[in-house]
Amino acid sequence: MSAALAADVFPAPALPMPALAVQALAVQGPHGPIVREVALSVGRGEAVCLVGETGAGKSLIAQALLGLLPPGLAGSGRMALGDGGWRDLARPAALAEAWGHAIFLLPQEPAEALDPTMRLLGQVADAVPDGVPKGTSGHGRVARALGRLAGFGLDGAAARRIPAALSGGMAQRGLLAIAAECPAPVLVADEPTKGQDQARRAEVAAALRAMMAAGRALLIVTHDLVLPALLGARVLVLHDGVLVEEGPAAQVLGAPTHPWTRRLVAAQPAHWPRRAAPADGAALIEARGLGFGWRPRERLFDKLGLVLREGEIIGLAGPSGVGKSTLCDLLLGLRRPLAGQVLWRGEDIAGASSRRRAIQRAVQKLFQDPGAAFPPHRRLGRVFADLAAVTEAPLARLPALLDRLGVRADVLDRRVGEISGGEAQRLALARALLLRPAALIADKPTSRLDAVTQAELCRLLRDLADRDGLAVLLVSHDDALLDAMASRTLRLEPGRA
Amino acid sequence: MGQLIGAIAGRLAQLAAMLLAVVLLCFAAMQALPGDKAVQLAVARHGERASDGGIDQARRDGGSDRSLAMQFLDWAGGLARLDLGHSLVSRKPVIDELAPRLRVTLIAGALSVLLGLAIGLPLGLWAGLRPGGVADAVVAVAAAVLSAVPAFLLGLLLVMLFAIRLGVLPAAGSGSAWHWALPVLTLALGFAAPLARVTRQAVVEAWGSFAVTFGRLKGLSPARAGWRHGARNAAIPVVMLTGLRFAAVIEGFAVIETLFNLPGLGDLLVRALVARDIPTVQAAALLFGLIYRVIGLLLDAACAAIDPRRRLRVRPA
Amino acid sequence: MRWAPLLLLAPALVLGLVVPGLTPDPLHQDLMGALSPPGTAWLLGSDELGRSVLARLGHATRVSAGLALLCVAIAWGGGTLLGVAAAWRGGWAEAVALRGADTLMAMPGLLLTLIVAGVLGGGMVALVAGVAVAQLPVAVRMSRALAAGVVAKPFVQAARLAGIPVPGLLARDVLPLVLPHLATQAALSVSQAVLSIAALGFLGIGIHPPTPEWGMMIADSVPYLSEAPWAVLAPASVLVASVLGLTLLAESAR
Repeated sequence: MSAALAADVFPAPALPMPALAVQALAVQGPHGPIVREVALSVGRGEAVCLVGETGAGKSLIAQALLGLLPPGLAGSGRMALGDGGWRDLARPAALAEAWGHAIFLLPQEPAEALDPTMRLLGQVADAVPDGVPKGTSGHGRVARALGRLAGFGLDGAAARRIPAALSGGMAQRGLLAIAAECPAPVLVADEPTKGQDQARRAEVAAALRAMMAAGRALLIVTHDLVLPALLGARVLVLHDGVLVEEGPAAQVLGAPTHPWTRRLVAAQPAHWPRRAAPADGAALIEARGLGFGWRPRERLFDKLGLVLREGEIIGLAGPSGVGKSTLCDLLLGLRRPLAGQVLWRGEDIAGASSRRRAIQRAVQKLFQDPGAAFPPHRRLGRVFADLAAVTEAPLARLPALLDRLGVRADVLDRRVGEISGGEAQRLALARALLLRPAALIADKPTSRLDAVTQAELCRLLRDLADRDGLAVLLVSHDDALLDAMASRTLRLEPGRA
Repeated sequence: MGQLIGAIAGRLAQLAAMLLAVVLLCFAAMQALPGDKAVQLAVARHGERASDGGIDQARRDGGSDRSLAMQFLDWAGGLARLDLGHSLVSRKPVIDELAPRLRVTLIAGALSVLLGLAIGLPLGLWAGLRPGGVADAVVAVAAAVLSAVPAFLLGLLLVMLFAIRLGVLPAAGSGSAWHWALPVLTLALGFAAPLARVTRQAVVEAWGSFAVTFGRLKGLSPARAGWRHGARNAAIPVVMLTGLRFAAVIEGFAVIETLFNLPGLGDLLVRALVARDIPTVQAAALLFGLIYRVIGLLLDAACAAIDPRRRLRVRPA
Repeated sequence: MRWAPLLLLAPALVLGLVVPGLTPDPLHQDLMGALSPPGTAWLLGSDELGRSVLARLGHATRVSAGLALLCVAIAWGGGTLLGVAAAWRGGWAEAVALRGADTLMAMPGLLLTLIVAGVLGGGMVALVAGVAVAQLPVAVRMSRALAAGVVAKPFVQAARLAGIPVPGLLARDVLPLVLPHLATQAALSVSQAVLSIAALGFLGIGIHPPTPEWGMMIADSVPYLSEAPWAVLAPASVLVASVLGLTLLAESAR
């Protein structure tokens, strides 16, 4: 449907205009439409959350509103920003004229948005609107930026750091400060809570609520179903490029009506049944007094102890960069600890070099990025055939295993780039299981998967632990997921264990 | 700061290793020279005085009878006392020949680099700010062709044009300031071509970064966001790659000075190599290595001055 | 545009593959016909000793191209083995390989070639050694960097954890991802080698006369530049076209 026709079908809304009104938004890709006929409006002081699975097109909607669609994609439809006029979404250059004073984007990644060579303070001062009292050399702006950063818990010293010298949380707060300072009445936020733990998510929600209180309209793209409830937002559910359900967060997420929304809500870890702690089994992996650090006198962790028993799922949590992946490498014997020892079935793996291969296969790993877990240039069947060097008849045992994991056998004729992330992760699980491991170390195995696929993979892991006695160390940022899956959770904190 | 000191120490260690390798290679070459080794070594050590009693002295000292290790220590020991030895051809101290030639090379080099920067930087910036435009195409073709033309050929073509066809500039020699025009222009063009290409690429990437877009999202005008968040980020790779391209300028001396008969360090090196005058080769090679590394260090410092990530504490608190 | 690299390389291919079989001895001198312009008697003219520029160019193309390919094969073959091994072993082996490469790179490449070839006394072996030594550190560094990137990937870690034998793992999973990039760089290095060999020939430190070679042909005819520009321009244009063609070929593959 053309934009002109859309205008007839959707007559201009009666006054008062909402802060943001969008009609007939569509995104056309090289192989056909990706987003179709989206209409939405956000009022002053309101938050609207666009939720949906990966690939549903929710980020494309945000990009289309700002004229930032990637090359090869074309937007269409129209948008009003509360100033009366309609803007044509097919003309990105015209949309850019609204940036800063009428609409602003809170980007997902501080590392990409902030200039790496410039101190944070200057980058916040740039967002201060023109009307603010200006000193001769921008002192007014700087003072105002300093005050704003202080409001986000960043003191003068932190404000004068370059982005690389800020922690992930501080950089995120810097972005929020810029968003708060920017005068645009409409704010589009792209996954503002992605990859963040509960504490930081609450921080972001508080900042967004403050902006709502200041009368700004928020359009938030998110896969996080907790955030809408924290904001008291209206929720729009997007499925396959079409809006399928709309309403207040409590109603849509509490009593979903569309089947897809129901699946999405049920897949949330908070709704999973909790796994009962298993009876005490034999200790498979044990860490004693483990210490490691990249610099001689700075330990990531020290005197760390851990026992992983048969049939048990233990969680491993902690902020990014705290050493979770490093701890996994130590437990797998891929890296040597600076202090302490790792035992597999009571045997120190540092002293077991002669039997290394045999025992190594006793502990296998699932990776964060399933797409990188297989070589990109080879057919998957060939990768499994390689296992013949170390285990008997891998290809003969594979079909039954794939059946149990719910993977179609014809994926073996493809390369990893040609299958979905969920399929790749299940294949990675199949590869590990062919080697008959006693324990599995899963390093954030679902962080790149959407909620429904995540729920399926976690159900599989649980089933393997229940029925086969597989021991699993599960690394995750998601506390609800760990609550449901793990019998206990080890939390690494910066500077101490 | 610690990182910076570590980087400088690393560079100096590389320099020392490379200088040692040159000395070893030259010492080995001395051993392989045809003729009486004792005479050669004596000439290299004592020059003209070798003809009087030096050779007998060298023979008495053991000369070729002494162990190789002792001979090498003797050879390197002189260098450690900054005694570069004597030319096997003129039998004069190498250092006497070196000093005036170093002056020629440094002046010609500085002029070439300045001219190259004056040509390459604006062209690269012009092409990079309008990617896909006319300037971009012109710079791309010119840079590709110029990188395919070896320095000696570029020099010859300039001679054919300016000295033979137009007759406005002298072809070779070192009499007047005009004699410097063609060699400097040759080196400058050879430096400007890759510089323009690198600058263009850096500008396209920096101006196209999300940081610049984010600056515009904050309400800065496109031009202001570009200069505020693009210029510095573009300058960093340009300075770093200029360091690599600098090698081409230094290499160019050997060829260009020979072609234009300019009495510089490169001309000396080539003459000494043809005559297998090892002490002179060694001295020129050590000096070239030293110049290259000193320039590398200066560029490192320039990088640190531009890029705060190299100066400030970058690890998160 | 897609055919530009091949068009540029065509003269060198014809000269190197066809011409030597059709033309007389490149060393044959006809002093009466010295410095003749291009025409029916001399297709590309003759040089100061009355030798056919075309015949000499044909042989020079074989020599220059053959030597350049040999240098690159030695430097990149050896460099890839060293670099991949260093990336796989890590630790001190990697450190030694990298510091060694850094040492060689502390001297500009062409100067290193010049000094090594000159000090070794010139000639074909010295020339190849000089060019290969200058390219080796680049090959080691690049193949190590590429291989280290692949070795750090989860799929290599998974194969290691499964206990898959190392030689097969390197051959099937690591090398196929590294080699295409290295081949591109090696192709660029061929044009670098051609330029280095020509520069050395021009300076008289390369292979010994009278074997014809591009740089030396140019240097020999420079004194007669105003009388017989064809003797300089013919080898010069083949040289530039070939280097440009190789560069474009490598860049289009990237």
